[in-house]
Amino acid sequence: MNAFVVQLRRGPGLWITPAMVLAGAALALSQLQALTVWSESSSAAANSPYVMGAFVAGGGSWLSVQARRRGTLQVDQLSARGPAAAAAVDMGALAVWALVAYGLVAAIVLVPTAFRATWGGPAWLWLAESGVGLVAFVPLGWGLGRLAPSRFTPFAVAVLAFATAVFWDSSPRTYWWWHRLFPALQWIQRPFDEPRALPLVGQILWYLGIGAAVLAIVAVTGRDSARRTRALAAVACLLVAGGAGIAASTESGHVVFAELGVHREMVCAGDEPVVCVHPAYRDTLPQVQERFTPIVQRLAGTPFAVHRAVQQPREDLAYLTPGATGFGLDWATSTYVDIAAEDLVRNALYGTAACDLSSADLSIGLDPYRVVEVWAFGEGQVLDPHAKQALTWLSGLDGPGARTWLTSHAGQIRACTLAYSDFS
Amino acid sequence: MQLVGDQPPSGPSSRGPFERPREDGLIRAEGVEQRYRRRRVLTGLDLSLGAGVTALMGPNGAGKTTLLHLLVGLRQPRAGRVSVLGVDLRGRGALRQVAPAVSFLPQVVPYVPNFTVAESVGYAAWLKGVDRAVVPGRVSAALAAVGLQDRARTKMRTLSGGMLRRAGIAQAVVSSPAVLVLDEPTAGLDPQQRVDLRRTIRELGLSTAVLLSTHAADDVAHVADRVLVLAGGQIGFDGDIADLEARADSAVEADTPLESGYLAVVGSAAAKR
Repeated sequence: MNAFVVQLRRGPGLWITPAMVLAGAALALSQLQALTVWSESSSAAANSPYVMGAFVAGGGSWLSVQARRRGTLQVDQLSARGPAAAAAVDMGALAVWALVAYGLVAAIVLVPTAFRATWGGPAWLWLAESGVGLVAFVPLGWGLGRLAPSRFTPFAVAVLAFATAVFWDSSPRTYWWWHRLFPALQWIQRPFDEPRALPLVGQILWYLGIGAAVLAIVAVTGRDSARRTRALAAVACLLVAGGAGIAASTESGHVVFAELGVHREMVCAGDEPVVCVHPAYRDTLPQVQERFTPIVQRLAGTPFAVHRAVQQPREDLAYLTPGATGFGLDWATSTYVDIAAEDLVRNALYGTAACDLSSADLSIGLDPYRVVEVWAFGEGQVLDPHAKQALTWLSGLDGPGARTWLTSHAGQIRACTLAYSDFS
Repeated sequence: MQLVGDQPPSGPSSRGPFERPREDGLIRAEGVEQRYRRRRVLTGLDLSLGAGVTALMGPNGAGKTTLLHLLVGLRQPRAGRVSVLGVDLRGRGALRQVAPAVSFLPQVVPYVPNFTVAESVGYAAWLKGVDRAVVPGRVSAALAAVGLQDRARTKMRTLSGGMLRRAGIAQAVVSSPAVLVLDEPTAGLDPQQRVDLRRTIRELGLSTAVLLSTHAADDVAHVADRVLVLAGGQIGFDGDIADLEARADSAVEADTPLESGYLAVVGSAAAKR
């Protein structure tokens, strides 16, 4: 049995793997409403190092603390394989367990997706970047354990890793360059988005560079041969500088990892209106059509009539063809089909007008223009007495009467200037 | 005693483990100085070690462990040079070069608690670069040499102090080193364990250059071919047991002539300072 196998069997990786899988899978699944879209499932799995990293960093730290406290460090220094050999084996075995745990989390999320997805495939590069990022916690933890070999260090390092991830992730989503150098961030990739390969490749190189740098430092301090030390240091420098440079210098802005709003060939159905969704949401098309039909019927023959309803990335309205009304569909579930219907109504009534849709003015109750929105949606309830009266009045109109009223008040509706006195 | 399980090829790492080394001056120290902050621990120390068992004695704080660390390359002297098997340890990569031929067992036995005894010894063999094909045979032979063949599958964390010490020696000898350095190997052992360990060290000394530091004069009397007394930062005495006993001073209160001789050497060194 060789040393690597012994470390695999006896090192901390075996014991922390179940905890890593539980934590990682819980996080990934909690971020998904449905396991139907490859990009969403892939990125949820890729987010799992956010919590798994703490276990890996703690395990890495435990290894170096044990080596120092149990005296094996001196034996390692007198190794015929060089002072970094034992460290490499220790860290390598833990890295294997980290990848096993990550692979299991990915399988838990991606295997069900494989049976349900209707378009695309796993975001392999993103998954790889995240896996290598998880492994980068091993040398980080190991190095901290070497610097502070206290029995409390592994726990402290695990807490520090998680706290750093929380801090980084909760800081404003500006994604400055240093955000890209931390191996655990959360981001759900929508199917309209395309991962950017270059920053991901840069990150992979940077994470590998962290491991190489730690081994190079061990080789230097352990007075390994000049040739080997130079080679290791050169590889570490190349990976660290090259990887960090690529990851940090590629396009910044509020999103680093995905190209938003890439145009896709949509899947359409129906006649009046035609409803189009992203092929990843193909299975929801009948449900969406059914939900949209009464709305379209209410608005038919008015300036707000919907002839073509097209799913769009929520963050970007730029890809609508003329005459189309957009709607956002975040997840392929009935709750989100309802939200998509609300979105369709608002886009049909206000378009891109800057109406305040966030809340009612509490001093006067619901904004009058929103009564029309509730009426068109068909299922809304209002509590404000004025709004209730206005909604009752509007609902009491027959089809031609409602169309006439909507047409005559179209300008006020679009400009969000409708008043309760108009409902008469 | 000859290890079984491998056909030793040439090179220091593959010597038969208990084949008596013929070389003299396996370890040389010339003008070695070491200090901790302002306190000088070693002052221009010269030393040459060859075959057999050499015992290093000295009072607490004399610098025995420091000297052992310098001799195996774990530390660099502030001045002077140490060479092992003719390799100057000041050079980068020198430690790696001599590592297969030198084993060091610290006072506190280094071990990973979760490893079994066999895994621990096998891991040490890997670290020393022993050919993978011969590792199982070497591990068995090393465990047999220290009487732990029945404990191969026992976890290190469950071993008694004496067994742990023997397991540590098995780790140290599995690579068949030319030089074996032991830091206070009998410390904390009960009388029976001490007797067993002395026998093991004597047997190792037939084929390996063994340097051990100790406070126990009876250990020295039973195992050492040569005695060094470190006092005042120098080697205050270098000779065999009879020579040290000959230094015995009737004015010094001691239980044995060896202890009396040792105390006389230490007292003489202190007086010179």
